[in-house]
Amino acid sequence: MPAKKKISFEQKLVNLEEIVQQVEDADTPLEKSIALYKDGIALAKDCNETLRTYEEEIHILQKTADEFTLEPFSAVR
Amino acid sequence: MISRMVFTVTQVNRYVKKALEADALLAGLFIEGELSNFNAHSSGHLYFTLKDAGAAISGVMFKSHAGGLDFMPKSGMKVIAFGHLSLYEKTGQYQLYVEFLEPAGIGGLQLAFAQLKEKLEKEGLFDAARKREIPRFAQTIAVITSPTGAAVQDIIRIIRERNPSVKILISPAIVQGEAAAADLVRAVTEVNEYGKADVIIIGRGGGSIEDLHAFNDETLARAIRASKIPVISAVGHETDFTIADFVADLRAPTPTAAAQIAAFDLAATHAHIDDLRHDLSRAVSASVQARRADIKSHLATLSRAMDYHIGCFGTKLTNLEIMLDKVSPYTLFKRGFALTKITSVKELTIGQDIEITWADGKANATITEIT
Repeated sequence: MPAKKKISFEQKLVNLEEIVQQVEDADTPLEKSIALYKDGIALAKDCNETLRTYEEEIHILQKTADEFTLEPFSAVR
Repeated sequence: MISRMVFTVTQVNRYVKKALEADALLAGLFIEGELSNFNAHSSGHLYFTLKDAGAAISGVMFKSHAGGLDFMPKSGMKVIAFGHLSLYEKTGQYQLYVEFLEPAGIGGLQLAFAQLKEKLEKEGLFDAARKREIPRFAQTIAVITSPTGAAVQDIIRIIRERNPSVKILISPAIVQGEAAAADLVRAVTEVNEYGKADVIIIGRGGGSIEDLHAFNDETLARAIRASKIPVISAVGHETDFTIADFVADLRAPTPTAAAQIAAFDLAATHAHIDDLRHDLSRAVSASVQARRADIKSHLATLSRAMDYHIGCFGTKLTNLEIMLDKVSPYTLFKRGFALTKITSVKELTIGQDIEITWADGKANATITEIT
């Protein structure tokens, strides 16, 4: 599913919250619940992984001529 | 004959003009009064009358000076004007040529603030409908402020406390003085051009109203409104309100508060995801349990129904047996009846031999009497 990459973290979390609600709903057919459960577990894993990929960086944004450069913040301090 | 000197009107007016302009006091003085007949001409020059209870002077402020005003004068406004007096030769009227004008009473900055606020509000720049939502999970936070101030340190510290893995992009800008407003506009534009930020914090630490003045700039207000990236303003202390605060998508009371809003709490988010996963597992197993219970209950119902049906059949069968029993010849034998295979007494004659059958055997009999 190439489109999956485009979904924001926020959207993923919202999807997960909705899945939980649907599974908690007694009217959801069991087969659907189990399929949703599989999706939900994958989504939770995905969310946690996304959080891990966030980068720890502090940069100074500078524009010289028409180019942007990023300098480490500590160097400027 | 007395010799007369006759002057032209032009000569007189020119003479009076020179006399006025030669006077040291009239060459540069402050006059306080109320503006009336104020007219901002399309040429950019301002024409008005300056008056008090008992007198009036015509005044003009040329475009070259009027352009520097940070507020819009209006009729009825009390002002202090600085300028020189001269004569307008064409009408012979003397007037005040104003070079500088400030509102009397409240400060010029305050008035400029109130006027700009009203203007932008009317234009709809502060409308709630135009405010974008601040992303809940920004990955990159751009910070437009002085790279050497206390505010940037506070912002970084708070972001790191809440989320050690969010990217911080500092766009350095001058935050006070003459060059500040233009530099802040440049920074807002550059961060937008660069594009890789989810939210912008723009601000500075506390200071006097003059120190924060750059954040009351109209161009900056428009740049903030035009930003494609949502903007959180964080100017000074909680009690400071600037135009930037009104136009931003969200006003944070302080730079520290802005950092708290912009950076999501990483640990809490992980915990939330874990909670959701547990909820999901619990929900799905509850769902399976519920279905098991359903099956059990259906089985019980089914079995009860079967028992009932079987019971009904049993009763029916018993009834049939009873009925069958009633008509069975064996039942009749038991009650003393016997079988002769003769259906009428008319078939009999005296002395005839007949066979009589019981359940357990037979016997021969002879007819001796017919009645």
